[in-house]
Amino acid sequence: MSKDSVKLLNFWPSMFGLRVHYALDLKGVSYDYQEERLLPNKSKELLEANPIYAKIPVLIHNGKPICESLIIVDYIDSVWPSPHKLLPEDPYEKAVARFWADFGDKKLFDAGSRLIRAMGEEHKKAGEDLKWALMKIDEALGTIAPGKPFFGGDAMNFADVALAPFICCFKAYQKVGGFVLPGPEEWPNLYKWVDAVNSVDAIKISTPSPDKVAEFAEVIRQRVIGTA
Amino acid sequence: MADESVRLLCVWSSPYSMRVMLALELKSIPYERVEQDVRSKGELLLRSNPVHKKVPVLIHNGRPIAESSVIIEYIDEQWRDRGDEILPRDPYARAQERFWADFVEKKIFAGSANVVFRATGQDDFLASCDILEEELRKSNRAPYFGGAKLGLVDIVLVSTALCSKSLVEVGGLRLPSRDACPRFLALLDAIREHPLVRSSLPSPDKLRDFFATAMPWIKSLS
Repeated sequence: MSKDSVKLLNFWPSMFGLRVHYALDLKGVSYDYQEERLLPNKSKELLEANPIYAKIPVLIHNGKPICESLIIVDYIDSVWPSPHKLLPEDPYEKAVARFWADFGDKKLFDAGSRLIRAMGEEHKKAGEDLKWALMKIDEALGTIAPGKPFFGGDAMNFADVALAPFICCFKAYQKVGGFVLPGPEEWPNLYKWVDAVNSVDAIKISTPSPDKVAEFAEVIRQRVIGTA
Repeated sequence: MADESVRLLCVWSSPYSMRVMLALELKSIPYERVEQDVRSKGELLLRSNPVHKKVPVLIHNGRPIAESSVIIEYIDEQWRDRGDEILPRDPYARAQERFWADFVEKKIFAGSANVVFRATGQDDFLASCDILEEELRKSNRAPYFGGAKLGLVDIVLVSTALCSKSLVEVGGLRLPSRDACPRFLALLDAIREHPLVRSSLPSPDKLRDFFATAMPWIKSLS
């Protein structure tokens, strides 16, 4: 049986790319990693693999590209269901996991990005939106898997993988975005979840250091301030 | 199915409600339409979708599912053996179908809304239609994106197929010409003409008349 060729095109600060790392690492899939320098020009390989958006991450499996992080994670889970299945078998539980992954895109990452890039009133709103989103995640953890560390119960599932990349950005949001993070007394489930994710060995493999992420966020913010 | 309860909290004119209705129709799932008043959200809606407080919400045997893309995949999986499959079973084909469904939502549907409600992005919208046209040309998908039968991308496109008259006549959207995008426009026609679309979803004319009166309010939501 010939070996699968699996390659990930990514840019290290991307939280969307980190989702793909997490899915592959949790399943122990071996893959080649290619760091893409997006500026000043995107590589020929990236443009060929993702001609519509020219964005990372892209997974190239046996020469065939798959784009959009949650679509990639779903694909990975279908092709390599074991070990560590990410999507529950039950359609309702699957829908719950998909809902929270989608929530990550629409409400969490969006607010975080605006926190770093926006000024004035928009910046203030981003902070409020981020607080609200984290509060919802804390509530959800308490409802969906009460007493358990992850959305997936005892192990990370699709929702955990979709949301976990956010954790290494907390420092950036505080240092660079001026976000004030409420404490564990206010969000006990969220803090437990963060500790649980951070103690998973597979997660440690590809997570960039929060300091490095904060440095990168500072560069972005300076660029925004410079053009304001 | 006799003892199953399927209720859809929806708004007849909502593009996202329409997509879910079509998915239910494709799978021949009997369901109860529970029309919502989004200007005065009821207790059932707020209880069923406390996070987003929006329609559509599917309530299956008392359990709610929100977000149209999540609902449609649930419908396909829960009733896997009923009707036609909405998504292919092959992982790669499924990833491609999801990619194009996402493209239609972000670039075609939301793109058209940008033109009408934010007075921006007309050229981007046309460029996105060109991209979809090229995919239709390369892949020879006809009469529907899903081939002989409606699939996920067609379901997402139904909002555009039915609302385009409103967006053009009331909203000032420019669609590509038949010369520029013959396959894309033919696809919208085919979706509009599908028997289930004709029988279960609002007509383009009804939507246009509604849109003409409701436009200022819809604008305030964006």
